[in-house]
Amino acid sequence: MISLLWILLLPLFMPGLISRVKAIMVGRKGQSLLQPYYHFLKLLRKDEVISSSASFITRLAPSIALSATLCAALFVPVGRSSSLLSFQGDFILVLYLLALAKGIMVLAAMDSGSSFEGMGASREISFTAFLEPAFMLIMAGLIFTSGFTSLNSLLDSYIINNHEVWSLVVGAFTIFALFIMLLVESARVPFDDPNTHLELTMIHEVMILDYSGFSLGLIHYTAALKMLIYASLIAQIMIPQNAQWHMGWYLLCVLGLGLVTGIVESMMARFRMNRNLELVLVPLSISVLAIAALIARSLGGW
Amino acid sequence: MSIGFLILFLAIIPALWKRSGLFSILWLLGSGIIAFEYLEVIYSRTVQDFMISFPYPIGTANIGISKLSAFFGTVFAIGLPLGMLYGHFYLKQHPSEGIRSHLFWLGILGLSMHGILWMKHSLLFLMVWELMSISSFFCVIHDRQQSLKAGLNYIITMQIGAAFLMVGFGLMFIHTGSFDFNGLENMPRLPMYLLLIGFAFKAGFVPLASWLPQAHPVAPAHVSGMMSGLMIKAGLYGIILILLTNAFSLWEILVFCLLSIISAFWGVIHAMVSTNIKKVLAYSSIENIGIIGIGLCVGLLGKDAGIPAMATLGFAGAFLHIFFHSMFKALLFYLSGNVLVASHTLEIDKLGGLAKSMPFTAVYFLVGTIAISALPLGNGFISEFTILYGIFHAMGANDLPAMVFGAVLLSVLAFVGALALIAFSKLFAIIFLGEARQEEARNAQECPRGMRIPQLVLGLGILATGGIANLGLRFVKPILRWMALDMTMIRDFQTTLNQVSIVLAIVVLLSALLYLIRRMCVRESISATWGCGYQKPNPRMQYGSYAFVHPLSYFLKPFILFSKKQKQGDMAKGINPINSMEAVDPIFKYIVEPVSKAMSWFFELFSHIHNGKTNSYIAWCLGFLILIIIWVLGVR
Repeated sequence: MISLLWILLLPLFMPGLISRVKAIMVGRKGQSLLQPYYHFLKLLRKDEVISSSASFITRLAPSIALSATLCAALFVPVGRSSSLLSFQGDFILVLYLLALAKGIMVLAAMDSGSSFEGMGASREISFTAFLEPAFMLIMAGLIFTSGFTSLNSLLDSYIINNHEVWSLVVGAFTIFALFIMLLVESARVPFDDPNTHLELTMIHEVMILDYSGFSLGLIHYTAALKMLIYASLIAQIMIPQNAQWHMGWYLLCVLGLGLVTGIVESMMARFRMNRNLELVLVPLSISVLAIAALIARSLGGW
Repeated sequence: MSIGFLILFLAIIPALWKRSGLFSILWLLGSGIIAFEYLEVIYSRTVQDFMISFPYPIGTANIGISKLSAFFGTVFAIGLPLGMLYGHFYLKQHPSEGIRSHLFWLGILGLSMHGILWMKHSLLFLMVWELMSISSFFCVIHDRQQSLKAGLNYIITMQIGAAFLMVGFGLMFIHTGSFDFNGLENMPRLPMYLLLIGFAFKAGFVPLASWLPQAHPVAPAHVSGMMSGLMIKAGLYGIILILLTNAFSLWEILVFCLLSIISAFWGVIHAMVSTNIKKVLAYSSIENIGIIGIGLCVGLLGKDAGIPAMATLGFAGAFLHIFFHSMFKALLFYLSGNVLVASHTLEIDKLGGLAKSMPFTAVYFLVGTIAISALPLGNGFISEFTILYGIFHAMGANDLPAMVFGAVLLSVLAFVGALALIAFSKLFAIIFLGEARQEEARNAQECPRGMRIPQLVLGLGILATGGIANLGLRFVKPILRWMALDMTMIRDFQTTLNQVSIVLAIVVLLSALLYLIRRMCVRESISATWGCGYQKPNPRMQYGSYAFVHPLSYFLKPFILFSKKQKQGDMAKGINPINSMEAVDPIFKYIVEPVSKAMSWFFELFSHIHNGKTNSYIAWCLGFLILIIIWVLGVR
């Protein structure tokens, strides 16, 4: 139950942290860490303006996206307390639930009939083509070390510091691939700049141009939740085996990831839009490398 | 069983009187009876087998059904009557000549599809197989002007496939001395390959599938729905029949694997860049056949590597996908008929905004989209989940081919699933969302209720089998048991599926709750779409179908062939420049077309024989007779 509380409360902390880090990096004081929460609560109380070309998809999409993402988040372990739901092979469902959320939001973007939103939708959905196989292969790689079980015990029994070169190497690969996936999926620099002022160069932000009020609140929350899911996956791999304070380690890792993301954003510029997909291939190639190494190892190749 | 078939035969009588309503009612009735009896065969031990004596060349023939054919029979018995019913309402909207022959051939098509499942004698099987090809050809060319060329391409392809089957069965006869299907067991390699190729023509494996995207766009909606959803499964029936009765070496499995991967990939990238609704659907049929093939490969690999869970789940996934594909593909084809009736065009770049004028069609299409792109809540997800679940069992199992191909198939399934999501979100978004791009789409009206009845049934079926995940598996389980697969883990898998259903229920309830909250508490005001500072946006500025897939199709350029047409305009005379781009099928362009051209050139050489002069014909006959006499005498 406590993990549910964390899942519900923690997400909006990440965007606040990242923008604070970015502000400090450029020498500003920055907004309050809780600003996204205030923003979210304010949006929930507002009424909406709907595009005149919107159909039922626009009205339905934010709630479907949020509930699918939330259900996916229920499978993700928080700290060492086990996740709320888990069964053998649940990570397949997690991946497809996230795809459902993404697909319905893409349709909602196309619903407004705006060419800019179509642009964002097309870019956003192109990323899935390389991220889904990458996720599958990352999971397959973890299965090699801990057997075919649920996401929860897969991450639980994966131990990065059992002083074996292999689990360290594969762990590092996995973490790097997942981190790039986090940057892509939560629309951060270098793939997408949430703070840009030109609609032509946005991805996630441009898809939701015509949303306002309550629905916009749900969408912001969904995006933050998705970021937390990926951050938790990474954090769960990084927690040392015989750590005492799992929750502390978990929070440290998640907040550390927020910090790193903020620093990456301050140090880098956004990449060229039409070359983005080439970088999205990186997690896929890394996971192919990891799984090739694991296959060779399990056959006694080294 | 015989009563059901009697009703189906009787249905031909109202067909000859152009009574399509009575025809479809009789089909519903007969298929209902047949479906129940097929199910009885699946769930009990009774097997229907008859030995019937025929005149000389055939001899005593075994006619009966096994559990495998009963499975396919049930799929047909569910799908066909819905197609006939849709056809009745669709033909009403599309009044044209030749209804009588169309209905007649529809009836023959349905009967022959059931028929091939019963024939266990290769001569009879070939006869019914030919009947199926010919009747489907006549159904395709219902609308003569546009469809004759594609229809001829289809029937010629089918004849080539049938020629492979004939040679294969002939060699089998030489080998075993009988036409009975018992000879399929442990065949020598050559006839087996020939048979597999022959069936692959019908099933639509790349590179033998170029007839699909040609024939489907021109056929009436109900015919393409039935052909793509059901008839190509007859080819799969043949392939599975051979897969189950023969042992395969690892290399053969890997070749099958590669062909399936290529089919899935080929189909989906062309579905992504096509702009005609039915062409997209036809290419996606190739993709789904590839996915079914991948499921079968996972099963075979699991058997080969000694991983029972992988074998069981691979075959289970393949059978589930056969069943589910027959539902969602038929639904989407029927819906393309709705769009055609309402807007008189199938080119998606002319459509747009139909969700507001055709809300029911839009909702059904959304259900079909979710199912075909394997998103949760649709049934396509359940079958892909099963196959993926099987593949994950190979990881860490210390078997090199299972692991390597497991990893490859894993990423291919995920990649193809994602591309299918792109292809179908494009299709749905461009047709139904946004604003109408042209006048026809603006004036579209919702279709009459009758056309929506079969779609409602199929849509509910998709949601039921997708939501209650165990439903499909229950249907497939007896066949897996009959195939003597390991069933110990199926119970665990059923619990898993139950948990999936629970999660899906949570998703649905939660989104309903959020939606209701929004509905109760939020006041909406309507305003124009934000044009990003531009004052006069118009519907033609919306993102089009090619732009939508551009980021990826740029990436997949080496695999897709585009033909570009540019026409210089002359502004002074008011002629606008025209730039158009179309994806073409390289197999069709570089193999099928040159071959058919070469063939027609070859036969042209003999065309002067046909000169209309009676005396020259008599001379030819005489010459031929003399040759025969010389040959006969010479042999003696």
